[in-house]
Amino acid sequence: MSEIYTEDWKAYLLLLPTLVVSVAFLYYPALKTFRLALYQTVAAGANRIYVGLDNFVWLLNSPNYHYSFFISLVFAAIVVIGSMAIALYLSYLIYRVAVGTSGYLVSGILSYSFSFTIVATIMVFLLEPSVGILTNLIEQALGLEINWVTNSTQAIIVVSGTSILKMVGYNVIFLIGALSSIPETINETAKLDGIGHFKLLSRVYVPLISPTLAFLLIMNTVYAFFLPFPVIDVMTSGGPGNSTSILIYHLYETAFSQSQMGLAATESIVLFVLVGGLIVIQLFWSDRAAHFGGT
Amino acid sequence: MSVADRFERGRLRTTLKRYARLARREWKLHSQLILTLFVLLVPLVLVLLMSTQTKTEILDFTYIGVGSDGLENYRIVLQKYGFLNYLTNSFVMASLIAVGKVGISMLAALAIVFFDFRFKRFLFLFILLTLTLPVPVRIVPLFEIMVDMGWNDTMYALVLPYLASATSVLLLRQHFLSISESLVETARLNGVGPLKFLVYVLIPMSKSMIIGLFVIAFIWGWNQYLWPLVVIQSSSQQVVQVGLAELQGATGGGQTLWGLIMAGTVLALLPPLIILILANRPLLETFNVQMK
Repeated sequence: MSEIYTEDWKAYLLLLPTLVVSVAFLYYPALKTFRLALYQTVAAGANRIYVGLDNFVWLLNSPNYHYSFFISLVFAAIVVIGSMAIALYLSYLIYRVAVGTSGYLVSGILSYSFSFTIVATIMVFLLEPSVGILTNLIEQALGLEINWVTNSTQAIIVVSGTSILKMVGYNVIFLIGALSSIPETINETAKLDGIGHFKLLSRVYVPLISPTLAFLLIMNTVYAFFLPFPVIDVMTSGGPGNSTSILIYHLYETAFSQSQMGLAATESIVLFVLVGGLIVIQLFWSDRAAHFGGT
Repeated sequence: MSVADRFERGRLRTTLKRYARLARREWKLHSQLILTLFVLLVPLVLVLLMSTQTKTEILDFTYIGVGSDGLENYRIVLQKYGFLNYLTNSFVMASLIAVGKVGISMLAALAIVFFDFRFKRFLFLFILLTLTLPVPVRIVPLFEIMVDMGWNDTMYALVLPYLASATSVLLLRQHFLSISESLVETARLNGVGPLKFLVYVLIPMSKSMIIGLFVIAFIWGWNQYLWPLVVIQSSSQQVVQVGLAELQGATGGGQTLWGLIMAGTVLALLPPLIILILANRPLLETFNVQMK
């Protein structure tokens, strides 16, 4: 047993800072969100009227919000699958290579240090429809016209691609960790049997690291719902029209452009159910109960 | 040349030969790695180059290389567009978050692992469940609380909401639990108090993990965007992520000044990038604790 101290009050004193911050800035505002959701804000935020569940009903009947929900799911699916697939491929290569491993590894995780804002700013310029250098390159290579400022489909592809670039590093960190813990004997056997790389990856390694893949699947989905806010804000402002207005951006607009605090709180609850639900599954379903960065 | 020198050289040559042979056998892996990393990192290289180009060079597709503007764009961004100020604010914010987070998480983990007290399971779960409450879930009331307290537009608003960290508590807890029982027993027999135990035993034994957590928290704090955007109004208090987004309105003679924006981007990404490169070992080790 490691519990060598028994004074209750000392333990509470040590926990106090964490508990105070948790209550004051996490639980209390979260509870207030639930209360605020029952009110409608009128006169530019000056007054609040109790409206019961009207805000929820309003969201349920808003085609705009339905679209936002739908596009968030599409966006999350593209980002999660894209970034995990690229990271798995890259991690496998880094894991297999014997010369220059650490150089490749550090290059592979560089994007972990970039913010979504930075990656978005870079891509706004490189993909700028008329002067972007990558736009020019892609247009010449593929013979299609790029204008994601006016074309919705292209806008969705561009914001998802930008978010994928940022997410790869995080996934590589975990996948390399998982691959390195595979016993060496399995590698030896696989090599002796002369299985090809693709078969080796899909039949041997993926099943072995499936717990990590499941963990990453949940964490990436959670992240995809709220972290890429800067990508939308910097690149498209939800446009063209509202084609890239994912839930978190919709919420921001409701709260801070339209001052509809009650409605925005209701949208927060929708996000809480989605994101919080996934994290609870993660916490209780696996014992690997840590989530990076969130709070 | 002495015998020892010749021996050293010979050994170096065999090592190089062995590497060359390995590299030859692995050329397929290397070419795939280089190609993938090139695609992922080419934007970064382009940005570095273009941040040194003049207004006309940067708009020329065929001009890819170090520009003739040198560090001029950097000077302008730092002096005329408030980046010195933004960078300072971001640095203070990220450092305070990192120090505060790791500090109070160590105290909490110390209590959870080495104390026996009532409501322990409940309080641990209480900390754990804060994971379900990221900023967007509580952003509206949090903003109102800051306004009520008179903290909006100040460093308090940027730092305080980020201090509690279930992640750090969990990882430190896992690490503390792995410390050998005999060491803990010795501390108990010698009557070492909890704070002394933390400072003289736990911290020296967890150096790598503490650095790792510090790096994670610093990068996280440095990269925050949504919350500063909402809670900071005056540009003198603003952080570099939001400052960078605002810089995109920078125009001169009807043209967007992309050189300035790229220089601002490089300034905003360098500090976390350098920290990641320098501390990549402890960072990877800290993440890997999760895998066990």
